[in-house]
Amino acid sequence: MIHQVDESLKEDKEAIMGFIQNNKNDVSELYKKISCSYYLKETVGEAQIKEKFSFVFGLDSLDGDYERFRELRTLVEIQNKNYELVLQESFVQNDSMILSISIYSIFLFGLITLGISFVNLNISKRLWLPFYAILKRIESYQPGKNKDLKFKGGTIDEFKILSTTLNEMSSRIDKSFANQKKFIDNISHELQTPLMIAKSNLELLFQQKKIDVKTAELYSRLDANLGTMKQLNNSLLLLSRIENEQFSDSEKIEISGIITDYLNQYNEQIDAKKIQVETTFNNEIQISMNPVLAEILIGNLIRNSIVHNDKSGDLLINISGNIMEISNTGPHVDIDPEMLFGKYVQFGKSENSTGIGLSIVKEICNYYCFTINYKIIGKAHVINIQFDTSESL
Amino acid sequence: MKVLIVEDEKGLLKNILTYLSGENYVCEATDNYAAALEKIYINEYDCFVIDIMLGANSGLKLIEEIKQRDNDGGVIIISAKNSLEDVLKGLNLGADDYLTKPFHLSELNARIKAILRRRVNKGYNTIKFKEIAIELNTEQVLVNQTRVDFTTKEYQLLLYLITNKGKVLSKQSIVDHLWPDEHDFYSYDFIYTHLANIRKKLSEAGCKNYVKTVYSIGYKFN
Repeated sequence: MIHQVDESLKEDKEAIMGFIQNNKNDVSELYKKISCSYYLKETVGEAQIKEKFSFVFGLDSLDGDYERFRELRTLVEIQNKNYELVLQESFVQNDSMILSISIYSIFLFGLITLGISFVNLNISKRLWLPFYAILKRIESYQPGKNKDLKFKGGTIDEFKILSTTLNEMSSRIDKSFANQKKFIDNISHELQTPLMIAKSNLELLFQQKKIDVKTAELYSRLDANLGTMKQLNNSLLLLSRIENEQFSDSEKIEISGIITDYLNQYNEQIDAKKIQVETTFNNEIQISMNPVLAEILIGNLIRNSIVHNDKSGDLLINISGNIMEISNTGPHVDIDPEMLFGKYVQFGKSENSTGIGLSIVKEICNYYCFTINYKIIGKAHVINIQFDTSESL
Repeated sequence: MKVLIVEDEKGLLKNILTYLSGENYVCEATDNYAAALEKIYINEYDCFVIDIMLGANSGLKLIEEIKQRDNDGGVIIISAKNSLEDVLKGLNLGADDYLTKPFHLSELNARIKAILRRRVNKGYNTIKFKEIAIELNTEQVLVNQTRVDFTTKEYQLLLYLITNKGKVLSKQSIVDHLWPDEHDFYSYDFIYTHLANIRKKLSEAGCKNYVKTVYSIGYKFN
């Protein structure tokens, strides 16, 4: 900055010197060339002043303020007399110029930045469009479902590669999912015959004339376990039939009717455990679903709430809006609500329970897009189902 | 009374024949379609027990053949649990009843006898055992001509015991008969209660105790 002003002063000095040496009289010519103010002073005696830069304060002729000036003093010889040439240039003027230049630069820079980012944003928005489409598709991806829906990468190579990879991956997942379904289906199907033969063999053994006490106990345990195996196998078959969507036909179902039927049907158990049943139907839930699945859904929930109830416990069933809530008292269990509906999770310890009933409930809810929730309120275990009454399947 | 059993699983077929051997009807058996067809053309049967999974849907074809021959013998379908569509087809073809594997042999025996009874008695239908008489149409039980009131489950249990008289019925088989597909829900306690009631009501009506307990296994009507 100082350097710049000094340079300009030096240039002005050269111009004045040139003017003096050429001895021209036209001063206007000179004023065009120089930007600073100057004056000449006669020096007395031997002046030893060499070129010297310094800061001085002086009155600015333009606005009448005291301002900082840069001053150059030098010696010139005119007609054998020594004169001191003093050149002054306002430093502040330069300062404000720099400030305004800076402001303009910043403004310009900002404008450019804004422009670039606007263009960038627009381009990237269009650029990432296929990416967001892929993301959305991943979010909605469910193994074994919407197999015809493929990932699409648009025109961008990288996304094309990503889509191809995802397509391959999802088809691998679908395949292994289908295999797993088929495996369960096959296993439970194939198990029926050996189970049948084992059971019938045992039944023949029961007919033997003399069975001693120990053998009888062994037979009986064998019988009970074969019974459990049969039940498990039936449940697995049912699960795989639901997963394979073999219950597609539907009709209008009234939920409260099924609840009442099951409560009547399970009267014996309710009496045996002295369970207090209370039903509150604020309205009727009418829904279009498969009648068999509707019965399995309600039946399993009511069975579950009886089996895991306390002696002389409570069983409350409440319908309001499109929500059915079944709440029963029961021993406290440390179980993650998310885990409750998993396959083979034992809800408490009940001797005759295979623990698969609730996972069937969950599977039916998934199939019809019902929301199912489990929570513990005080001593009560509460399961509520929000039916999707809007959709007619 | 003649019953034809068609089942391709040889081990099971043998067990069925052994179990039903002491009954008051004659069983014939075969494990393939061709032999079964031959038997249908030569003999007259009162009841057919047919495994519907007899390879390439030939079980259904067999039912068709039976019905086409104007044979009025009853048909019981044996099927796998996951082939209910085939069962429906079979019932539409004129089959009377069905059982899904795995079933109890005592259950099969009860179903066969129900069909044979319907065929013989046509209309008036009574089972008699000494001083007990069960009227099937009205579901009434008479002891020495006096009516004894039973609940539905008690009636079903008594009928099941009498139908399988002389055979040991396991508690498991009774649970499956009274509450099909509810195995994990009904403990044996419910059988004890029902049986205690049956015994009490029968003895109050002056009936001897024919229901014997077989230790740890189950019960036998004798």
